[in-house]
Amino acid sequence: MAAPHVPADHRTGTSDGEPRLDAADRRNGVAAGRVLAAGAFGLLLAIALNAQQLLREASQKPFGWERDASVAVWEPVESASSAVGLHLPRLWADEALGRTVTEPGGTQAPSADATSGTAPPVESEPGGGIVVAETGTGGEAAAIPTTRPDAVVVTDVTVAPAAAATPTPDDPLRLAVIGDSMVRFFGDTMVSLANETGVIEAATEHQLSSGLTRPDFYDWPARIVEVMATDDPDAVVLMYGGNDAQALVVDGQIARPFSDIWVGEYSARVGHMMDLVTTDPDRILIWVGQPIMRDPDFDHKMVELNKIYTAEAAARERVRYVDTRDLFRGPDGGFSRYVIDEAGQRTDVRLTDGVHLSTIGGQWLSQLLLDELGEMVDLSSGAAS
Amino acid sequence: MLFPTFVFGAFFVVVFVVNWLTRPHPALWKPLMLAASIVFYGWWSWRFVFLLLATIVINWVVGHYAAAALRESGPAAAALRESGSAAAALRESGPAGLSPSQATRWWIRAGVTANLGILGVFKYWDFFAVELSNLLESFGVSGALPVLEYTLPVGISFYTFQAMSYIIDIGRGHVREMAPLDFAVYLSFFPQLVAGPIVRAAEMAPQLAARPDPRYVPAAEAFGLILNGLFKKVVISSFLASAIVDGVFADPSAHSGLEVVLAVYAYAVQIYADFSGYTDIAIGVALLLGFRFPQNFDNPYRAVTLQDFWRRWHMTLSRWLRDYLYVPLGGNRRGRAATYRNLMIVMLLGGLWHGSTWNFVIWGGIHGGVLAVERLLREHRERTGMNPLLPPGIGETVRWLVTFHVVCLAWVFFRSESLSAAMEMLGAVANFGNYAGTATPLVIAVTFGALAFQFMPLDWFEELRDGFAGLGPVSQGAVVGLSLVAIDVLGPTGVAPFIYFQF
Repeated sequence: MAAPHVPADHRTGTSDGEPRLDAADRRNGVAAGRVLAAGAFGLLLAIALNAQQLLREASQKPFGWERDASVAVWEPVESASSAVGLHLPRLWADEALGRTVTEPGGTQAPSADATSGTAPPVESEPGGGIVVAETGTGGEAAAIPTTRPDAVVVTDVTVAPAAAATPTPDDPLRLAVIGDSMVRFFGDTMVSLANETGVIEAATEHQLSSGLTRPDFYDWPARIVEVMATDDPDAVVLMYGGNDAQALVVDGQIARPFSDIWVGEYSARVGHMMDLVTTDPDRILIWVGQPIMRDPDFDHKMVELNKIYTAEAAARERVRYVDTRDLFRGPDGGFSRYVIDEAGQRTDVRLTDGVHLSTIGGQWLSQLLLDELGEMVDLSSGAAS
Repeated sequence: MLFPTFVFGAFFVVVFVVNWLTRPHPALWKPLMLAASIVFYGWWSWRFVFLLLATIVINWVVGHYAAAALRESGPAAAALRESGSAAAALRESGPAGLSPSQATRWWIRAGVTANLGILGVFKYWDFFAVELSNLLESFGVSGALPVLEYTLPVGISFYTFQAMSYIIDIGRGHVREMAPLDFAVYLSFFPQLVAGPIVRAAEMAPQLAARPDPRYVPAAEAFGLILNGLFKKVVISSFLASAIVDGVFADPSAHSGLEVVLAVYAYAVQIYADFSGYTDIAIGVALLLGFRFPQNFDNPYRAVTLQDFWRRWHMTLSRWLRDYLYVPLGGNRRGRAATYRNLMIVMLLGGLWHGSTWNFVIWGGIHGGVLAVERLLREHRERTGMNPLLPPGIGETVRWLVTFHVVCLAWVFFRSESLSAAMEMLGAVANFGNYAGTATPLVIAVTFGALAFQFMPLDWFEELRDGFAGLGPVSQGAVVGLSLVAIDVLGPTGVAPFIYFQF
């Protein structure tokens, strides 16, 4: 784990950086051809042992030529590897580490580890390769107010009935905040704010790069069924869409994003998710719409997705759709990282990728959603009321 | 293109073969290596390739005219021109070095301004515009400055710093003007393009001119570094990030004080594993291509003073700041007060180098402040002849403990997303109860094991390397292949980009 264990200037050059090819270099050096042979053999061996995983990752790419090419490359390699049993050591290792392993291209079993899945970002997430918030550089200024502007307009498509029971500190409302990478950036904040009310017991889970178009990457319906059965939350917040503007499979055929078939199938999947949550008549669901995005093309796709969420929520009683676009509009009405708060200060609410929310943005959204929840459920007996 | 991916592996096999086949023919090798670097960089965003190329052109032109002006500036420069050796020229002209002409100075200033301008537009403008607008707003003055909201180009801080070192070194007579293609290859060289080490032209130019012998590729050393770096990044850094660091920093109030402290220690290990892992891979990859980079890390958590820490952490940035900022400011030659001021300026700007947030400024301020205090205490002890209060063994341990915790305190600001988040994190150290179960035996073992590793004897890595070197190609390949699979198995699915890519 530590740096290689000789003084720096013995390893990779002198401390002042002067290059040298000394006797040790000559003694330890080998011919480039031999290095190539060893390196290439090492890579081929790693590929052979790892072929199933490589094919699985290839098949989880967004549908298109890149996926087709990758699958075409790895399929025969995987067949050959499996035929001679070279895939077994990796399989055994995964099993020993308690990882669920599926056949390439098959449906991945739901994972309890909400942070482990990081498939390659799909095309619909601009800048998804570099998530700046990995190390906490959201860029907030000092003492920025965390209040959201009052002017926010929330689109209530349906009026959900209040939950039957009023939560109390002794009998709190169980809240689950679930979704894709967007939830990663506000889920913990929302849990923290919710728990501060004293009458909510919240939990969150997210799966990076996931959504509803690719159950072969992550099967959200299966996971939702599991969460409803085991945790039985009283209220659920769901947010998907950032990774969903990609092709999906309908009856074995690939449907292009936003074609009629695609819209029909995606709407059905959204509706199915809503139904899975609201099968319990005492449970309510808040579906969070996508905020305004920096990339115009990506933003247009998110607008189209929001229309689907709006329509599906409108068709169901205990589902409330919350529009978030107005919350994050910049001073000129379009996308901006810096939104004016109620104190008139520019506040950094988005990450540099133009997609995800900063800590402050996450606080704004969390407060908006808690306000929404407060309209659906009487939270007045809590500490923060 | 990320190092720990199959795509990079395939890319590098091709580059390796082309490198050694064409190296004897520089006219062929240089454009091919430049093309390889552009492909590597453009993999993220082809748009920023144009910014990189513009930086190359601007700095080469500035360097060219600065060098031309320098050639006119006297006998010492003539010595440089005649001997072809910067060291020889410096010997002939005395310890003060060459005296650049006014024109040279003008070109250097123009070049530095251009580089800082590029950095300013992409990295700092929005920060200052927002802060100034908010300040004016608080005094009732409206009229916000526009924000640009540009995406930060990967590695911009690294290659602009390299470019500045080139033109400044030309002015100082420490390096000769490079041919355009040589300079383009140097500035864009893919192993160190996006996250260092910050290699100076004086280190790279001789290697570009040399013809490395393809019979002596230090493969054992290179493979050792690459595998070590992959293990640090894919296994250690990723594990600690997902197992404790990300969760605790996201919501410290939901965790116990002990977990918060452990998360800070774990982040210290994570960022070291991440950055030094990248550096190891970069150095190993360069070695396989026949280039030797300066080292960037030397077991930094062994440091017993903060000054010692900066001799071990991100060493190429430390010496850049020392040579191009601290020394020109006067270093420690202008009295005590000026020395402390210079230390603080250097560290504050070093903090800002990482990013345009107040958190990085505070991170630099902590380092600058403690460096100044250390110096004050040392000078006081030397002046008064005061004996150390503690016996040597205990004193060393106490100094290590203090240094490590100062570094960790600064990491809290470095990692947190805002000042308030950092303060919340520090406040949560006093949390009693709220144990969230993140301090697992594995997390504790990895964190403290990694720290303890920095104190271990140095022999085994060389023994391992020598053992590897003695194997045949098939056995070496088997070791490499099995190690790659083991690292992939032990690491999480998918690997986040290196932390320092964003700087």
